[in-house]
Amino acid sequence: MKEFRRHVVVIRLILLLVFIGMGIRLFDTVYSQGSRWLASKHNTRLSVAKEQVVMGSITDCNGVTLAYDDALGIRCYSENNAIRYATAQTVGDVSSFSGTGVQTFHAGTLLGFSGSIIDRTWELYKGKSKQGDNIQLTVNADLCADIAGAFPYGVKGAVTLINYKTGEILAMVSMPTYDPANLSLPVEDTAYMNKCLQGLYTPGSVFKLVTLTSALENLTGVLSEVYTCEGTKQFGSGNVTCMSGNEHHGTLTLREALTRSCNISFAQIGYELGSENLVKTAKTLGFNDNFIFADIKLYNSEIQTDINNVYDLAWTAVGQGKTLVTPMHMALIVSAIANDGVMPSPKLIKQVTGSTGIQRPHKSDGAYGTVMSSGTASIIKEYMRDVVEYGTGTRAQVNGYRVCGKTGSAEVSDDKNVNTNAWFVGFIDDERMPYAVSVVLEGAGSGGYHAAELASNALYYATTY
Amino acid sequence: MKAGGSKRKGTGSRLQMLFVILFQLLGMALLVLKRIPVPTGLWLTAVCLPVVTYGLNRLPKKLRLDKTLLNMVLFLCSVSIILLFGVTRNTVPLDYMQAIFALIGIVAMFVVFSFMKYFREWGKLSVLLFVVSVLALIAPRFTGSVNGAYNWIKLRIGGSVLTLQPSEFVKQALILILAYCFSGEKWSLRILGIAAAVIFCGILAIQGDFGALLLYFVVTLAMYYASTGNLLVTGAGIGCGLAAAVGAYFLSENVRNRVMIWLDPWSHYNDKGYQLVQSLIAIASGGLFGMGLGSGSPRVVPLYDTDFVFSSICEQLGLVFALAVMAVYFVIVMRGMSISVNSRTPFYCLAALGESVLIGAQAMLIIGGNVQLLPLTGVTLPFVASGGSSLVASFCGIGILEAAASINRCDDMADKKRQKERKGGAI
Repeated sequence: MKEFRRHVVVIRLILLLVFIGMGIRLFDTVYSQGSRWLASKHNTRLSVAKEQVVMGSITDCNGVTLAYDDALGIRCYSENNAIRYATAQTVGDVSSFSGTGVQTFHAGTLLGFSGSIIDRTWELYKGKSKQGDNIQLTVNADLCADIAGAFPYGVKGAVTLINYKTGEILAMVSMPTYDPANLSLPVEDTAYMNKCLQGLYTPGSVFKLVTLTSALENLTGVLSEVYTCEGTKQFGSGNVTCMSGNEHHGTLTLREALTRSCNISFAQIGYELGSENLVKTAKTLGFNDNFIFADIKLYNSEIQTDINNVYDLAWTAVGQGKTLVTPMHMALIVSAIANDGVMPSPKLIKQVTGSTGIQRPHKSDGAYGTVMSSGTASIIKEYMRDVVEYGTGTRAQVNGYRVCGKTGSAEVSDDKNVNTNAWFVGFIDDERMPYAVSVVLEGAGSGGYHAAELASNALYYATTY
Repeated sequence: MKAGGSKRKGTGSRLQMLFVILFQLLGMALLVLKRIPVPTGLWLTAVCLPVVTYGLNRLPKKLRLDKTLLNMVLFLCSVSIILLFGVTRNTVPLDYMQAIFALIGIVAMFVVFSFMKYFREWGKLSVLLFVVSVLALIAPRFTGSVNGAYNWIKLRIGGSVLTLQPSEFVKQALILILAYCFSGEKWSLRILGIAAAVIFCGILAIQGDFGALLLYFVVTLAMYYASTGNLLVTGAGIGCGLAAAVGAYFLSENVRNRVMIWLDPWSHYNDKGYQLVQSLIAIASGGLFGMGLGSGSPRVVPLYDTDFVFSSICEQLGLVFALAVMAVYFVIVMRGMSISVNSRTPFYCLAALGESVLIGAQAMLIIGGNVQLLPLTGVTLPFVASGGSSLVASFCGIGILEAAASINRCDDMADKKRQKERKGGAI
């Protein structure tokens, strides 16, 4: 019998652990995923609630109203056309055309699903109709409008501007856009999509920042290495070409390789790193991670994990492999570089207040993590400074500020006549103006032109508020 | 058990009773206020629930029942009855059936309790139970399928059709058979016990009832380990189980589908993932404190009263309440384990263990399935899911636990008496 008892105690302990583990896991999943489940378009409770509940308002960081319910219960948006169009995908609409908008993703909060019992009883007692919670965003509406105005005419793309210390999103502008107040109007293709969060683009040369990070963390002596560029070089079964046309870069140091964005040098670095190291660094930086942020729905960036030949590895290191990345994720990566290696989590919600004015607890994510050593970050920062000072990104300069950045021209087709997507990612190296920007312009050619210019404008506007 | 604790324990169970009755009264008051004119069934249930709870708590002390265990079970039953009343509205005729089943269950519990307490011929009983169980498990093949599955027995009584789920009752039989086979030192008996379990599992595999099969497997394994402590054989058992699971994955399309849905229900929303997605949405919509009894749209989730009753609890009464329900299961399981540890004979020790593991594993499996932590298996949430077979069978299980508890206490009392006499004699 004594034996029996001992074994029963063991089983009891196992069950105890399973129960506690399950309870914690249950609470944790519902806590972290709940808003996603609630906001699902399949949730029939939302449409019921929209008819019965006064939906909470949405304001920007300065209190400018972006969306509210009027006395008749009709959803209204900012009167200012520029602001309304510029913030359309960020704020979203009542029909959830924009799948990542605040009105869709935080519908539960706006419709008061997470409201407290006290408020509910109070409203019942007062005979008022149920009121949802109000959300204040970190976004600056005027800044969004300015950036939208600075877009080259008719070009599709996205600008993401965040505070690299806190992760607060100051602006997300995605073009083309639409009018949330008039959903019956015809719109251009992809107008409902928030390209900052949902746009999965080939990174092109901006991915060289990832390759560089991996090189600095894994290859000893890489700082004194010298690379030779003759315009084209064979890797495995094919050639990697440099964008320099008939000219070629000749011999370059690592620093010059980034400043002049030399493909051959980075293909060589990728080859020396091997796919394992490169993929490991990319994963640390958030590639292939299932992003679950409390404030935004960010699509997952992808990198190929089973690169099994040198040719693919070389192109992946240059940024032209099967890699896909969102502009927001690129903004987070440069934020890590600007922020001594610590990558922030994106934040969109400044605060949530109940209908009676009481502030609701809103749990924001902590930092995403330390994704590179501060030494690596400071070296890359210097190199990126060179890019803007006299490299490929000189057009991104902002008077009076130290801008660091990296350009990219991502080929989206094998056809040479199709224009490349233009990228620019960068930040202001200044404690008082900690802004990071990520710009993608579809088919706008080289990243050094329109994208860098737009980034310069966006950063300049940000410094003026 | 210390002698001084008995008085305090009495007040503890009284407090529990008061809380359970308070919950019942509040829940019922809410239901009555929401539905005017009030149907007779609801009136009757509203009156009966507290009366029965009070009555069971005032049963003579001589029975030496474990009141805590009883109160916890009554609480779960009340949750079930109140929730189903609130959720089903009038979509199901006779929505007070759950209350009637609970009454039948309580009667069955006392029948099993008395039987377990005074019966001793476990060997003969095991043989009988085995034969009846096998017949019961095969019977659905001859009475026809229900919803395309062969795990229900259809009985025609008069004009109405009564359906019974034999696997629910066979669970209890299996525990008794294994408790007998594993309680001795004889290897031949142990092997017979395992053989019985394998035969049951085999039949269930053919019927395609993988949820029940998994429970049988876990219970058998736990009881075997407790009786022998043989890690090698237990490990081999787990290995066989895993191999069988992999085999089932490749052989059965049903299992493959379940795993696929579990991994990503959202992309299969339009066909197979619908249930789980709606379940998750319901849970999230409830938030911490629920949408309120009868509010929200609980009936959007298919099988909201059986397989997905836990998500109904979450939606209606909130995550905090749902976690409290989980805690109640936890208390029941830990109570059962205490009874097992305190048992004087291997048979009761193992039977109590088997029951506790069964209730715990069953609750975990279905709760995990509802919230996408485990693949969904069609087992019922004990005492809460709607359905008579599961409820009555679970009450039979509590009968076994109560019998073991009662015997423990009687033995303790006898010991104390003997000690006193010995002391008295010495003086």
